[in-house]
Amino acid sequence: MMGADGRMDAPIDRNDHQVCFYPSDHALAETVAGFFASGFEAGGAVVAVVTPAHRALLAESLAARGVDVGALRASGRLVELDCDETLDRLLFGGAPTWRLFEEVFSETLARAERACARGAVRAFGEMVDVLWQRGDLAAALELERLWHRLLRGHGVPLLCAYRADVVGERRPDSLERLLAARAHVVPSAANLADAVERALADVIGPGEAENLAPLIAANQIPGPRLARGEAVIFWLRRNLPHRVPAVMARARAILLSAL
Amino acid sequence: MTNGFTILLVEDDAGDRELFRHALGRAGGRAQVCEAHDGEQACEYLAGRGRFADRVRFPMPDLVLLDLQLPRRSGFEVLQWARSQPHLKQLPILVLTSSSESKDIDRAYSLGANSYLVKTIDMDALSQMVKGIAEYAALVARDRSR
Repeated sequence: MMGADGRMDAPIDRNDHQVCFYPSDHALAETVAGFFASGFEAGGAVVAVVTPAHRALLAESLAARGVDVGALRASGRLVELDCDETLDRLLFGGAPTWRLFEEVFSETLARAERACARGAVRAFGEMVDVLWQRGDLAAALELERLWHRLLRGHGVPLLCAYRADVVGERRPDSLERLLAARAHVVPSAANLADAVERALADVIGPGEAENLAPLIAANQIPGPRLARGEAVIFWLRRNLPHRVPAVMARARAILLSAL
Repeated sequence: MTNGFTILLVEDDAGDRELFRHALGRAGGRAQVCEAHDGEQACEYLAGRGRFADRVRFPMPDLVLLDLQLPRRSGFEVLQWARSQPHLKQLPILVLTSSSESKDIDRAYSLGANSYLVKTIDMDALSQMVKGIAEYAALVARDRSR
């Protein structure tokens, strides 16, 4: 869950599996650093499977929050695995297998658990996104399933990040594809819901948007609970698809003007 | 909200049909509501067959509200059939059911439902939802007439 400043600060449940869509590296670093920092503050540890570029960015964001990254690495409370290398270890014939997955992560999680005197372990991964960006949706979804299976046993909350601009036009199917992940979707931007709702009102009229709001709120969605902004976008894509470009363009303008 | 739009309510329970009409009246909606009382009748209506061939009395709806548990043909079967008909592929079909089971939600969306709504006995909540449905139907009708 995000705080008003866009950081993921609120407590999350053990076994919780969350997904965030990020439009930029900066947005990713802010969200993930918040997820890590609240775990460290509680005395916990983090296992992160990251790309080298994001590893550096995350370290910067954590340091900006006053987190001593070097000390956490040295104590074993921050375990970073390279995304591509780890994927190579998990894939057999192009698909992740449970045996290899468990081999890599059971011991890693156990080590992280031993490193923290109190608190719990959190996990963050980009491997699913890497597979997804390669166009290998089947392997991506299988990897999500394996994460679920592993984390159920360990009681570890997981955050997965996907590079997808939910108000962008390049990947209009982003949300629906990821619904299969059975995760909770955290807001892509702290003010996304307001921006999308304002944009909808601008495009179809304020009275019309107000009347539609309870219908959109009542709509049941397959898979994860969506944050409010994403839920509106999901509804629009299925119910008023020809209005989506105008609403998204307006939402982008509102979000940009707020920067 | 604009006038001149039609909702097809596919619902076998007379009480639920009455509740919907009452909520629509309470919400100030002035849609023309046509009814089908089972799944087979819904297909006949949408195909314009039999007594539903008279499109003056039974106009093509701008939106369908579809229950899932129906006699003769289930709501899922109606959905599947409707999405296989070229002229009905774009027709908004909103499931309105008492089931909140995820397998039903998944199946309804995979068969082409636009929205999935769960019935409520809370009259205020129902009125708000129905007001939204009427607004949506009006928007659809307005967009189509452009």
